[in-house]
Amino acid sequence: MGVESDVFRARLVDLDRRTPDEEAEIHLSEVSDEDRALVEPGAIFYWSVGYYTDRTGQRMRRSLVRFRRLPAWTRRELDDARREAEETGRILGWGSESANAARTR
Amino acid sequence: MEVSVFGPGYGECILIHAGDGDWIIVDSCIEVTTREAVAVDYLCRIGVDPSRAVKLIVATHWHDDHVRGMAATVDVCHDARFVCSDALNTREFLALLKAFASRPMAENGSGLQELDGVVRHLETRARDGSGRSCSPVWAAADRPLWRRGAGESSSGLQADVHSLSPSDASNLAAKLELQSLWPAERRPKRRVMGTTPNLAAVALWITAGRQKILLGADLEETTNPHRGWTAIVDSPTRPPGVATTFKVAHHGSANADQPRIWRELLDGKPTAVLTPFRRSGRKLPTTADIRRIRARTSSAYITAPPQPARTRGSPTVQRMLRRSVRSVQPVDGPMGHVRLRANASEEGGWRVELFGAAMSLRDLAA
Repeated sequence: MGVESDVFRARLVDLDRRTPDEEAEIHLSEVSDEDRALVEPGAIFYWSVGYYTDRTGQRMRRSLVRFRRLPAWTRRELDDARREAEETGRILGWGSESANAARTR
Repeated sequence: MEVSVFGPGYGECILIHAGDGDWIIVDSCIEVTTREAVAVDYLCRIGVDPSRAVKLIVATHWHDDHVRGMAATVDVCHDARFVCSDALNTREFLALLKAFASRPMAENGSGLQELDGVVRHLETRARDGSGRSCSPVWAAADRPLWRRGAGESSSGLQADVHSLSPSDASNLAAKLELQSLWPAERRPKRRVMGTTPNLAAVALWITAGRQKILLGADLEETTNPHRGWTAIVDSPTRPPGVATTFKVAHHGSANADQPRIWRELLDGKPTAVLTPFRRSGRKLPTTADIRRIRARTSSAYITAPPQPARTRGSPTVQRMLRRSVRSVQPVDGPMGHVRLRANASEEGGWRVELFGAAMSLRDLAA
């Protein structure tokens, strides 16, 4: 949601739906160097917090922040979205037909 | 007649009973624990069949906190027309819905995904061959959206819903802003962040019998007299009269405040209701906002306090979270409900009931 000098502000959603959504200011030191460039408004990350037991049976605390590497938009995806919008728009009378669609007819 | 305002801390939903069993739903929020749309749940609980009773569903704007649960609401309310801002009436906005909604980036959804769900329900209805009009009704300044004539009512009660915004200037500006959200090819996908300030939201004027209600949505004020609240107050074509009930705009924030609303659009002693906003590092209303609203009316209510309750959940996880964060707090909380009921053949005289986290603004520290 936002990045400051040493923290980023984020919405936390419990994927188990056991607690309501929270908002947190998280220290950037929680993010690995490889992921630091991905910390931008609108970025998605997963935060795993809890205990894990290693192969020797040792129980350890763990906090792991992993930013999702979402693929880039492709021309095909954007063209598909425009085409779907033209069809829905004609059915619902939503918006005027775009100049682009008119040109391709 | 009834005005019910729901809000859990993030989100709001307003239900209006315009008499004669006709209901209007304005915006949507969900019950945190069940994730169910609050409007449908409430109507079912009081014995109203939403599939027949709801005549209008209004999305005042597309931000997440105003549309959560709206697709499910539209799905259930078969007889309702869907209303949204004329600023969204472009193929470019539809394309934006299609681009982001069919490639969801987060499990918790977004306003765009929710509106795409609405569009899909409307499209399904349009294809069912019933001949019903499924096109959205487009809201703009001083536009009639729905009317029930006195002759159509068993009690002879006329009811009207008008939109007061967006103005032409806001409409155009919002369309240009929305175009700027279109993703660029080869750029990484990101969740769409809502644009601010909100000058294209749909404020509503509702009349039923002698009662008049002003719903401020999240419409903000600006120095441009052709936009925001000044454009509404100055409009020579807005519906006449003064309202006795006001859903305070934009969670009571200072940037949605225009003193002329209270002098020129409202009765001298209006009943005011607002919902809090807890997100993006902001908590609304602020202490100054609470003081300002309390100075304008002695009858002001809020669906939940702006300060969130303490975080619940696993103590172990909370303890570990606290080591990694500067702050963490819940944005949603228990649902609050402010219910106003009055006789539609009189002006004012609203009876106030508070449920859940709702409280009088008098009881909030300011």
